[in-house]
Amino acid sequence: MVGLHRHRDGSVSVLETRQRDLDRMSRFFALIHRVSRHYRTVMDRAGLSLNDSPVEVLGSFPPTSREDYRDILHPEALVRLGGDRFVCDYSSGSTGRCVLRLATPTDELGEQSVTERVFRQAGMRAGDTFVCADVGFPEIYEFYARAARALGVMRTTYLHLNRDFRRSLEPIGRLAPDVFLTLPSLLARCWPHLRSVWPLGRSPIRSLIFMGEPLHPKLRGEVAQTLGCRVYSFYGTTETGGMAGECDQGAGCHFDPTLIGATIARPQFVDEVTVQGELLLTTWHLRDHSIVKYDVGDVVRITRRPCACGEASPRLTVVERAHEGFVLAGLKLRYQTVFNALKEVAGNLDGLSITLSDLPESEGHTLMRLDIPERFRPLERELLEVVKYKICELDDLYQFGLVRFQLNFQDDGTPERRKLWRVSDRRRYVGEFAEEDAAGAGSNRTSGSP
Amino acid sequence: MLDVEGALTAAAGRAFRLTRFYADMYEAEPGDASEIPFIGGTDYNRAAGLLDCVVDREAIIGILPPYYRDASRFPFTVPEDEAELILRQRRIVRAMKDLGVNFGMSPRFLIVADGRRGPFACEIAKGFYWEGFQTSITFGSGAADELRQEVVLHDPDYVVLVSGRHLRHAVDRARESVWLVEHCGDTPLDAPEYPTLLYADGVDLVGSRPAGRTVCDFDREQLLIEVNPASLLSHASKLMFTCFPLIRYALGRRVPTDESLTTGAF
Repeated sequence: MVGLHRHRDGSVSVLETRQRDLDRMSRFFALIHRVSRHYRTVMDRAGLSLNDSPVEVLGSFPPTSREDYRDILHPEALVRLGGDRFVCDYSSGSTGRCVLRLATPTDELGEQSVTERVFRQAGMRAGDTFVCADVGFPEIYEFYARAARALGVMRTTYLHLNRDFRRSLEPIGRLAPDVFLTLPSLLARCWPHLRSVWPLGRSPIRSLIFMGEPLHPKLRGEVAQTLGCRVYSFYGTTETGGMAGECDQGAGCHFDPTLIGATIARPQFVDEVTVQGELLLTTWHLRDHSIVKYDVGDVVRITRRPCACGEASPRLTVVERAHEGFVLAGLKLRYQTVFNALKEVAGNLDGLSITLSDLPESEGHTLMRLDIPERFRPLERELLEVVKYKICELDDLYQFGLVRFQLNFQDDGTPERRKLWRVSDRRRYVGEFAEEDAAGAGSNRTSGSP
Repeated sequence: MLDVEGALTAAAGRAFRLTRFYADMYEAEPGDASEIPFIGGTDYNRAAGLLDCVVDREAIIGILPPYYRDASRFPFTVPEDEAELILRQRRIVRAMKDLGVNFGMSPRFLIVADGRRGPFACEIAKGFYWEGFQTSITFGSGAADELRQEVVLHDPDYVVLVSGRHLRHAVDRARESVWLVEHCGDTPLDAPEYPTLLYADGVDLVGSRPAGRTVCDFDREQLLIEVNPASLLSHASKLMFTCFPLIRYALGRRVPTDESLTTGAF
């Protein structure tokens, strides 16, 4: 039985506490203590013993930050796994620098088991045609294709989208997918073309799965009605892998806490079985590049109330993003990442506002306007070089012609100076519900949308 | 004219100085080409792992998947830094031009792969779409009817057969638009009437051969391909490596090049 366990520091973990689950958790901590110098040091410093209850160890374990992952765990894994074969997921952890998540064949299988569960919950079944559409990262979809094949899917396709959305989406009518997986911001740009491929409400698509970012509720409703399909959310992070997926009820993403553990920091109990707070994830199901209490940066609500679908597993709903950020064609960026990169050439930069708006389709995907104090105008060329080539997330999108940059120099000391520290998102189906300031105030993200 | 022997000796010297593997292998810095041994996958049993074989672990930004996801002669994961990624992209562009791609026409590609060759196919796709070309991938079961149908559904300008190469005749397209991926570790396909991309684990893209031509084109600034006089097989050297050196590394087969015609080595 899944329970909400309150730790001594007040945080809450969603746990199965049968003896075999406790044994498995103990083995996990023994493993990371043996193979990870970093985690061994963390445990020793915190006075955590392998003889302690694993629930106690988890409760006292300090969170792992993005920076810990990038600067310590990633290089450590590279050393440890150097004699093996592994594959990589590319992530920056939204830090502007390329970081690799290494996955051995064993870890890939662990993640595949989670993915198969999510796909099954989203209605994927034997004989289906499965199409994934994205502007890049085909290796992610090759992995999904493997999970789909294990469920008996007949045909799997990675449909590559380039900046000519109309032309690149054109095969989808003939491919006639039963299950279609894509990213909300790409779906929004494809929607004018996708909506008219089939008669209203009569597309072959039975399940549309979205991941990586929230889907605007208006678009979600329109998609479901126009295509005549169900829409499912698939929640996860690059660093931990896929984690949870919605069922037909659309009332939160189901997850298996014995595979990926969820701990809620600074929790607030909504009722006796529902808790809300900052999400930390532990990858019980990974052996070779594990992570303990990874600080995802999302505020979530987790309930163990049984779902109307009949499944007893806990469900997760994203309430808001704790870290300021925005998404471009599926790639997450933080305001601070852009700001810090610009400071590399403009050391005393003290103001920046970012405005995102849709470009006409013939010109790309997104216009990113950067408002910068006038005195930095002499550095215009260097600043443009930074956003085009020095931030790994933007580098790809610029190369693909999906993002364009505009530097807008404003007088110093303007009365609207306060606005210089903002991200404004004016994109259709993205911006209307996702404007936030750089100080980290929460966005108005809709509940239920990862 | 490139001083081939000088470039090889310089590359071997750098590999000796910058990596533990080549330092152990050579024991002393090679003074000329005669002091540089021909090596192969088996020699890498001397290395503890890939970090013995790379110049700067912090510069690694990605890996090169082997042709088969679950089998490779090279015992470790092959890494890449940004400079080598750019060099590899240069080879991809050269090969596409060699095979007649009109970059101004924004051609569409369909890559045909299976489960075993999926990650490898993805890496090819990334090289193609980096140039702005739509590059989709179909992961099929390997049946001729299915392949034929996929090509009709996608209607691409070019079909790239990473798997299902024996089904090339089933594709109802002009032969120039059906590319075959040859892997040095496999038996040669013997399909000179089809354009071919030649790959080797460790090196990734070696070169290309358009339909009807007998020799493989490759970037001589980046790669040196020689014949090992003992085995009569081809060995490659990366002359411009910055991350992962390969010096006189066995490709696993003889690669037909211009040099082989002029020297009569093949």
